[in-house]
Amino acid sequence: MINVRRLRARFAAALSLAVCVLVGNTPCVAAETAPNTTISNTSSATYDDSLSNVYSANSNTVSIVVQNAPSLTIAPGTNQTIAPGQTVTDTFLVTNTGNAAGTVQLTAAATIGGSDSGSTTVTYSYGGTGYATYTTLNTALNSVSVPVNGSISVSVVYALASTATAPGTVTTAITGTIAYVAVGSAPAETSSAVTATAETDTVTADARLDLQLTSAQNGGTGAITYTLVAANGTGTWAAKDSTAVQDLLGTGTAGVFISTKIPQFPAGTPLTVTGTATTATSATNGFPASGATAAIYYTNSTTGASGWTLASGGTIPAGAFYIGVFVTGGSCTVNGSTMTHVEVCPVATPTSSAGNVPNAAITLTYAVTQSAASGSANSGSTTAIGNSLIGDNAATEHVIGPGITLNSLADGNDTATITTAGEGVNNTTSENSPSGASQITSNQSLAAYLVMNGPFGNPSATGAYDGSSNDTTHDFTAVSFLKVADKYTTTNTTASYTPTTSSTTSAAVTGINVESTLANTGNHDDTYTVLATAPSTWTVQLFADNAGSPGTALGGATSGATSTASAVAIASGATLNYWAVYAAPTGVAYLSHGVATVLATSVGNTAVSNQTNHLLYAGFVAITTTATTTTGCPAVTPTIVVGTVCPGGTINYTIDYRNIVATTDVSSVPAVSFARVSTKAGTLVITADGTNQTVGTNNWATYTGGPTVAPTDTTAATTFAYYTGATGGTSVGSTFQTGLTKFVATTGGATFQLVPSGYGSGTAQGTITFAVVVK
Amino acid sequence: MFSTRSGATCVLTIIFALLTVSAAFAKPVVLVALAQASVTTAPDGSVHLAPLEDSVSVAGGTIIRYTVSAKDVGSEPARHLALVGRIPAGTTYSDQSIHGSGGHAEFSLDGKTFATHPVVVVRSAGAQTTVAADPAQYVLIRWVKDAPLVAKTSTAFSYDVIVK
Repeated sequence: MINVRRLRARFAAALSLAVCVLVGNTPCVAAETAPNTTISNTSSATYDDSLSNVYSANSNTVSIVVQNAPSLTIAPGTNQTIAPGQTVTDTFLVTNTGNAAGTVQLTAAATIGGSDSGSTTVTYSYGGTGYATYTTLNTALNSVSVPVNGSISVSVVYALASTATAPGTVTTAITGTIAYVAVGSAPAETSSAVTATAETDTVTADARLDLQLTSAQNGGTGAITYTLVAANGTGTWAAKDSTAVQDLLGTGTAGVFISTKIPQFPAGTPLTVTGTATTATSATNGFPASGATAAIYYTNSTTGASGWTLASGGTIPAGAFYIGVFVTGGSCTVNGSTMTHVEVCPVATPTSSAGNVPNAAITLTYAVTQSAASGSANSGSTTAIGNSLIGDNAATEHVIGPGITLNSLADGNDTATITTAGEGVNNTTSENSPSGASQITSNQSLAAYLVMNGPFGNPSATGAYDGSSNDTTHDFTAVSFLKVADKYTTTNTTASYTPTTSSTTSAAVTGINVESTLANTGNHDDTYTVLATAPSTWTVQLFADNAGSPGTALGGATSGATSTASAVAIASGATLNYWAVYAAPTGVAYLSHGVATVLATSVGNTAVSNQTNHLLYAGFVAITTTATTTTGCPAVTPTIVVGTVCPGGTINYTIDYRNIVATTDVSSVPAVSFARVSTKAGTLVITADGTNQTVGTNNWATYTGGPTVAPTDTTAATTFAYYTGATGGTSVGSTFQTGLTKFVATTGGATFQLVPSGYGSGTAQGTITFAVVVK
Repeated sequence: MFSTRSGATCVLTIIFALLTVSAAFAKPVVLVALAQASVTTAPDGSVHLAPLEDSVSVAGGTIIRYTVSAKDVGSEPARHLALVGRIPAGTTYSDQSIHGSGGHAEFSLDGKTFATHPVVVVRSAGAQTTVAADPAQYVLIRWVKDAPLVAKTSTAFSYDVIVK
């Protein structure tokens, strides 16, 4: 018996299934009887009698009339996973389950619940048309007749604010009725209100790329290798391709782009990519398992707005400003469905965050040579940041990129926007989650501390003095000091020989200022210790420059035989002018020079130093007068003794003038090194006064008739002024005449300078000659 | 909207009285009467009947109980009495709802043939299977008396239909 019942039940079920199959798409529900339908019934009987005569009989007829029986069901749609900023459509299927066509109305506004309910803006939609309120929706629905067993889709559309909390939920539900009009004896009826089971949408954060940028520096070459990695930071949404990226790169397809501006130093000068850039992908970590490609692009554009080029073989030419990886053509399983046009898939358990990507889906690696420019070794001289551009999952797709307000930029031809300063590929804000920026990495070149110390304005000058080597250690500045009240007399009476003198300064001389220049020629800001050492018995003090004059003490330097300035700061590539102020003691021999040294030592690397030298001359011009020839004397025996004269005899005088400063190699000595041991233009004036008889000198005006012819000078353009008469003479102008008692020679004319020997093409020596006849 | 129980009884009494006069000769004369009532089930499970007047309005889903009554007003027993009730269009038979005494029920899917347990043949995957018919497919219900209806006695059976 039990088996029979089971069998019947199975048969019944099978039949029901069969019927459903037979009717095709017709719902397996009984058709409702239309209102105002009269259902009549009658019964009958058959029987026979003892003679087997068969009889039949019919009953009376009874009837009923079917009323309106409005009823409806409201079924929610499938629960959705949504993201902040999305516009979400929850569609409810309203089915007329009564027995006549009717019109549906919502009895109230949709019920919105869930933790993110406060972040919604609700509207409605039916038949592709949006309605601001449920009342305007009802107006539209009022003209829609829903047949028996027919359905309409009514949608609750809500915009979820970009600030909605994720994770969170939004629930929606609607309550409605269906109304039938009166028909025949069936009066109009409205169903009871039915509330749908709420659709629960789960709010999860939209796709975001987490980027991490790291760097490593080669300790030998200083080359910096950058590694930019990216992964999807959410477990829900995929990073979709972006048309804006397509437009930017000029590719044939949309895609996702991660990029970085190649570090620059100095600003505007990108470092050169060395070797080849490479990219790697990982399907395990979210790179689409098939269909997607990753390719390296670069551009020489200074703004990244144009010129993007596929880097064949990963070769990035010098001068490139940006580099990036373009990913296109992927598909992923997202929220249970296959989605195309996505490039970085969600992973079940995301492990990344902004600036921290332990499991990379995409990797870009490239290396740059370090900068050799000044300051390049200063901490953080070069910085880099990784940026990304993806599409979001909104119905109307937006571009997600650092610096771009979420949900503000509809995806499209947005090249200008995504390359605006501070946005997209030009973002400079680190770890700008969720928009996809990395941290900022800082690097610098390997430090090379260098210093140059030299003559003013020429810190790197070379030089040689007193037989030294010619190099940047022996560069020098020669200066002359002279006690004005003093005069010195050369003791060498032979022209062309180096004059000497036994004269010495009669008093101490102070304020002998020598300006020099320090240069930080290294690539790192540095401080220096500057040690000045004066010639023996001299003193020196270092001063900072103050508009071309000694200012305050340099680095705490004091006066003494040495003077030390400490912690003299000079930025990489910068120079510093300073002064060494000397005081010479009394008794310094004229035409001699003392040597002072100034040594600058790097604090950053104490093995690095450079020296300049100050050659302190006590006068640098020597004049030597000789009577070289005596002629016109009678031939007598014995002959006229050399150095003596006779009446009528001619005495030929030579006046040798010369600059006693000499150097063996002046090829690279700057002009400033000799500026103060060269005569100023037109100031070398030599006087031959035959009336000056002080201490037995210059009495030729007394005993001769004066120059017989005009005096001459080996230096061109020398001008002469002539005088006649007694002591001091009376000027007779520049025209030679006999009977002169004095002449004044302006050597070389108004522009002439007597320069050190061997310095350029200037004149270091000259000779004036004139002859007189003894009375 | 609905007639009272006493009203329905009055109608049947009049019908039987009129027919009794014309059946005074020696043979079985069975008079058949049909009544309808609505069936409601209270929350406590108790069932309540409410006779329905003719042409009364009812809502879809209403359960109608039809009661078919037969009385042999003749002088001989009515043998092989079979009372037939219909499942009107717009209604479906409520399974297991037939009640009567001294007989058994039979059902018809085609209005011609009856069976205690109608079956249908289902073809599936090239095979034929015979399965029990869905009661909703019944169109006629027949109550077959097991014994002759004794003259001057009555019998009845009822069944429920659901207004679609």
